[in-house]
Amino acid sequence: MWKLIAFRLLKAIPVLLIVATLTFFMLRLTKGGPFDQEKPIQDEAIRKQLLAHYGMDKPLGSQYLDFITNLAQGDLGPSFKHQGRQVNEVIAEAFPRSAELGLWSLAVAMALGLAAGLIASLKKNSFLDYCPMALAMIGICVPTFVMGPLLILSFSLELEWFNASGWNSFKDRILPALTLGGAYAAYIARLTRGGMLEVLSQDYIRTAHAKGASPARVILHHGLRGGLLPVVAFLGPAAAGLLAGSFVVETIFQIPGLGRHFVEAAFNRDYTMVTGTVLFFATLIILFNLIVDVVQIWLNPRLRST
Amino acid sequence: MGGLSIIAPWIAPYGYETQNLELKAVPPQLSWNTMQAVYGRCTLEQARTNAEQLGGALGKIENAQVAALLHGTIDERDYGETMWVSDWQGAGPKRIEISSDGFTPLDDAGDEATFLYLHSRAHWLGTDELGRDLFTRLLYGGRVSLMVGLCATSVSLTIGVLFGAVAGYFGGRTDDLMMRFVDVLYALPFTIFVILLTVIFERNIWNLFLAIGAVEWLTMSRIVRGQVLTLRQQEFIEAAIALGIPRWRIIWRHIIPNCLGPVIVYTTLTIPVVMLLEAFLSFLGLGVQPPMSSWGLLIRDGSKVLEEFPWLMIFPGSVLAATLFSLNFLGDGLRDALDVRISKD
Repeated sequence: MWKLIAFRLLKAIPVLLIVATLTFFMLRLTKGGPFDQEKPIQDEAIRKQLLAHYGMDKPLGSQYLDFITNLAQGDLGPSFKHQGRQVNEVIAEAFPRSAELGLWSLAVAMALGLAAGLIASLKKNSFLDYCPMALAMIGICVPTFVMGPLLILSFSLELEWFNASGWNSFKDRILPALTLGGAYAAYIARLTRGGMLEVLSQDYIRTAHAKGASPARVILHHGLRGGLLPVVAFLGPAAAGLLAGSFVVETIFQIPGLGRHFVEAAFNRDYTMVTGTVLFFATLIILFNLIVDVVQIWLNPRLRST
Repeated sequence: MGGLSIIAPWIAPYGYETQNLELKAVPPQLSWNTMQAVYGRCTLEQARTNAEQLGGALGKIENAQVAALLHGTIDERDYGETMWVSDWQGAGPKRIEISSDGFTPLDDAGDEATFLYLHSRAHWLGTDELGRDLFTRLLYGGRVSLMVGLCATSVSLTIGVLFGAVAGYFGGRTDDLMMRFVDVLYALPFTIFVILLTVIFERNIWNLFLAIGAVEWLTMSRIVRGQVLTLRQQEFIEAAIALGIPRWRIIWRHIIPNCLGPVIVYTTLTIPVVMLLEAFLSFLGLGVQPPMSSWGLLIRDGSKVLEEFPWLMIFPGSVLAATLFSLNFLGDGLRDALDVRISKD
């Protein structure tokens, strides 16, 4: 197990290096730099000094070397647009908000999805099956950027239960988490239902029933363990999806999180900020995939030998 | 809706750039007959009474209708003509004069003017805050969204099938190398890469196709590789090799046609994903650029004015959701019908 983790972490390093290199060169290939704005800086001296300050007057090769050296020390450099601030600082400030949003959404997705999927699988082909599954289909087909505004429209503007935007109290967490988690709840519900149906028809479930285990124990202990496997496998891609979704949700609800910083940086050609956030996201996803794999192995002993 | 979009230029009532500033943010109206009834000249009081007799039609005599009139039926003979209309906010009748450059409101409310009542020119789904017909924009937006769906999918199809077929056919070290490459790409956050690509290259629609297509081919290549690996063992390929047919020809004529089943299924499942990605990018403002429209862009515009004009958000949203649903449904149906197992990994 430890060997696997160590191996995977080692493998992550070249991946991150490739990501870093790709983003670095791709951004420098673009027309227009961070200092070419609508009102260009007229004074040549100021411009030169600016470029020198950010080390952008050096040849591309040595810029790249500097970048990689700093990166190895965990320093992502100064942000071009957030004046006088390091990318690290911006990320450190914004990430907790995004992480909180992500966790709440994941909680919503798991709670709703598992409950719906379990009920649907236990009451197969009844109203309690069709109803959650129809809801799940809707959840899959209505994208977050439609769901978010719709939720705002109905719950903040019409019913006035929640604030339409902001990130101050617990109440402000509910709508974004529902928006982001809703779609994944739908996927999880379908996966849970499929997984549980397959598991519940197997012999060892009948054995468990026969030896007199209570139905609740059979379902929760014997059934869920196998039935959850597809759900766990889905969590890896779901994490990537949650990240992407956070761009949208943070834009809709105006949460000053990392996703919004990334989109803004992409608009502003804030090279260091873009590179920094991309690397950060890549690391997160790799880590999350690793965790998912470890959990999968823990749940499914058959994977342990490999 | 998708089907209608294809023939949009023929059925759309207005051009997608056509603005009608007098028709800003008109709610959806279903009355599509441009009926007009011109009553004789009358004073302000009479105009009011007339309007009330028409069943609360006062609110219906809007700038909108005058604008429609200006578009449709007014010619030089009408210049200098005065008439009563009411503001679209519902303020009482105002006297206006038709002139060569539109119409000018007059202040002297005591005089007589023509009382004019007409139904709206239809905006089935209303107009946006720039006075553009939403139905039209939806149709044109659908063209863009579908085009992205098809083109980006074919880009990903081409790359994916070729890559997978080559890797699967040659096997051994080539296969290893190519599949490790796919693994590495799999570990990357995709949406982020698409965003990067759209930022880097100019934001025109062809680059959008390429950017989306360039990141959506991975699963396809895995599926094709798996198929090719099993096909390669079969006798007819051996026969082809024995006949001395060149490799690329074997791949092209014998291997690829034989793995079409799963490929078709997966393609139908890719189209909604790609369309969603396009809408997502447009929503963030990184996709299709105005004044062109796409469903994502319409949703973005709509969500900004959600409180005032909710229909601008609801219609594009439901159209997109319905289209995604249909495509997913089609894909799922095909998969079940052809009994293809697509591993998710």
